[in-house]
Amino acid sequence: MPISPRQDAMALFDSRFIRQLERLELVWRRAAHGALAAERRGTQAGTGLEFADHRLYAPGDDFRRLDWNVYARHEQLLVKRAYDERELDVYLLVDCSRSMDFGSPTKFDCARRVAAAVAYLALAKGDRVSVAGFAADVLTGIHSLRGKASIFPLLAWLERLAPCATETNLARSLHSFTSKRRPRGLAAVVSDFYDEAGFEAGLSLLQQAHRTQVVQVYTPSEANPALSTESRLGGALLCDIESATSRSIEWSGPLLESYRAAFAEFQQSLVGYCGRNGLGCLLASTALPLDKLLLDLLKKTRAVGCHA
Amino acid sequence: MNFADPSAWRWTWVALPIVLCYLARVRATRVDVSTMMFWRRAAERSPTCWHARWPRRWVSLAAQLLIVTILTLALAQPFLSSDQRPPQRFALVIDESASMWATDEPPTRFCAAIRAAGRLIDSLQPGDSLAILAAADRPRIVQPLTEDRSALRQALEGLRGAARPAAGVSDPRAAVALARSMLADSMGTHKGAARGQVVLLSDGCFEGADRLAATPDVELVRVGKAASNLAITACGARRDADDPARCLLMVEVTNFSANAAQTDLVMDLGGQTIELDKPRLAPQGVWRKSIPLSAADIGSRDGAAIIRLTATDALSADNRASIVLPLCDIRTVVLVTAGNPVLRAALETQPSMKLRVVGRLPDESISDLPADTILVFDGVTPARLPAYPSLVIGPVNSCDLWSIAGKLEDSLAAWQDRGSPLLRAVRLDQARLEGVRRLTFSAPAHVLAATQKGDPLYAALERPEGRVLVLAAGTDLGDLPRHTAFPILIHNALAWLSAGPATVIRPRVETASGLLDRRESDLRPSHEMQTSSPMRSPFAASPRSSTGKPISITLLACGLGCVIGEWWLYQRRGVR
Repeated sequence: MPISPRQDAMALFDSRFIRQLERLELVWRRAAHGALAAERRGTQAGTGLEFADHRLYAPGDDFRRLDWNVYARHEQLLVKRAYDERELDVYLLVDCSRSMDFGSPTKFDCARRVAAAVAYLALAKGDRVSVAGFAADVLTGIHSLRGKASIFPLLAWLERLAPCATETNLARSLHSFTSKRRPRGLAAVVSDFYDEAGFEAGLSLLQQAHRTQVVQVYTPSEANPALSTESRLGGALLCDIESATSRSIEWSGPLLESYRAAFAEFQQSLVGYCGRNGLGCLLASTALPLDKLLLDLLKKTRAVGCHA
Repeated sequence: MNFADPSAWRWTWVALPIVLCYLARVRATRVDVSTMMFWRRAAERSPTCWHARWPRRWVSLAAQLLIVTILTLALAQPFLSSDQRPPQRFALVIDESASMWATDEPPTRFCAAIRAAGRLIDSLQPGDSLAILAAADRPRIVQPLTEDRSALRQALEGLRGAARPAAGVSDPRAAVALARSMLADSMGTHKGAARGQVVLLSDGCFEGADRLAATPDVELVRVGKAASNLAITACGARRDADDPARCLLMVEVTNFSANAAQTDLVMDLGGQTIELDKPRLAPQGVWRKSIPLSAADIGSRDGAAIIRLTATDALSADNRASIVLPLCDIRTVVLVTAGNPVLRAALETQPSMKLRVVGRLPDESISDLPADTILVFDGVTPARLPAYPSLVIGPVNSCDLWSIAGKLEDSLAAWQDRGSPLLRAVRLDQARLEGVRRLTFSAPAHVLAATQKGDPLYAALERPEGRVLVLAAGTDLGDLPRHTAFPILIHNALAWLSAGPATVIRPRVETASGLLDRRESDLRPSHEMQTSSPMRSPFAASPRSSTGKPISITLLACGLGCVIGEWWLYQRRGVR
């Protein structure tokens, strides 16, 4: 269980962060009034208020659902069907692998903030929120939180969450997550997706079970490495903090150009995969302000989640 | 290939820190990355980047070492053996004049000249012989003509330790003439050698430097830069003709610079420092002034004074002058009195006087008195005045020079000789004298003050044995002691009696010692002399390549090319 031994006051989610979330909620309410929510309709007909279609009356049906206007006009007993209005299950999967503990601020901090913000907005709308960490496999999470007041135990849990020393294994982690029976909902994966085995297998599994939103967190130094003069003169010993492997290189312009191209191709492949398969995708740089990042994320989440 | 300046090879030590820096730099810097997969993909696309590290670095190190080698080679001034000249004879003349102690070339110009001489000795070629001469007030041979470099260096060290600023006017031309004669005398012992050359290490601050520098067999290697300087160029002192107790100090200060200057002129005398003036000098200006020094300034000190300027400039030797001030003589005054405290006090305040009080003048005391003693008689006088200058105050009895006939009824001074130095700043008509006796002189007397009726009150008598002054006041002097004129009257009287009969004061002028010649104090050479760079020894052969251009220039060009190449390598290694 990657829970930090620190039990002190929350340094990551301070009062300033909470105020920022409240302000974001107001902005979001104005921008998306009436278009979301536990006001979300289900894909199955149910007992909601929004009309779906008619069907023939069968014995045992509720008389209150008979459409008397149709009967008066056609003398046929039809029952009104409505979309089932129910709460949305939001699943937040936060990457806890060692590679997330990189940059300043770290990608892990950024991921936790994004997860906390999404959870707050979902709880405010009355949705049910579950958060879990993963690395090589799914780690213990916090499940089925309801109500706005649940944000504080959630924040405390996220505060204690720490990166573990294992490598990312998206396929195994998402397979473990989807193998447990859960109501269909919106699943958001916040990760850097640096998996040597690729991200396609894992996301494919997740997509079959839930509407999926992908948030790829990266640092500016990963996209465009900046090197000191000493490194330029003496070369560099690259140390992978996740796999603990190292390799010495000689800096050169072509090498860096190749690196940038490889990184850009990786992001394009992720965006392309999500686009082809109907997944929302957001590339989140840790250099971006949190509010801008969240607004972009919520716009994409709306596009994905309004029909969940 | 030979080298004109082999000592330049010490610059090869620069290669050591370059290698150390290289070794320190080749250690790879640890860089943490979140994943290696992008670097791996990048390396697959540009595989040469992984293997080009060591060769390119070694090329950079080799380029840097090559730069150091080429530049050191250029500093050593190589020349081909075919360009080597035959052995020659040189005479090195080192200027020891006072201006060589200027500090514009730290620590002094002389030390810089010694260093330059050491470099010249290092650049001697095998077979060359060298003599060292010092040009002080008189030229001297420090080291005769020799090929032994160690002997030359020892002589140079001896010269450095024993050299002092020349007190008189140095003349390097005499030393150059001596050097020429040495070289000419050695022609017989050095068969086949070319005519010798004289190398003069000097600052050029002497007369005829221009002509000497233009002489073909003399190469003047100039030491030092043009520097500003203040100097005491003249200083003298003499006794004041009007007041022998005073002394006049005459000082001339010259500003040898193109800027205005101000300094303090002070005098150190008897352990005390007396501020004399604050000369303000215009550019190239000369300040002259006669400064009166009173007896109180000089006091009873021995008169050995140092006049100096407090300003700090390039040459301190000309900021001071030693002088012996002409002190006034201490004369003995013998007061013969039965007790007159007023007169005694007036005599005690006189400077340069040693007072001795006696009740009467016994005959045996006369012979003990110094010849320049002044006698002051209060009332009673001997029947015959002794053969000393004498001042008689209120005579009550006759003597060989005057006779007394009763008292005057009218004792007010109605007339006085205003032109006499004896009555300078004295008004006897404002004093009331009591009990004045009528004097009748038996010898020629010059009446200085008289009553309305012409009776003398104050008279001067000349006699071969000594001057005599007589003031015909009563024994209590009336109210004369209460006037400020009374001590002045006594002072004038003693000064007149000290001068003696028919003495014309012709004070002798004392001249200061330790002054430098004006040309030595002017630290600006009067012309732009041809200077020899320390890197280019006059003893060296002409380091030229076969193309006619100096080899050093060619090497410097190669070094510049290597620098550009290394810069290109550096840029190639860098990140766009």
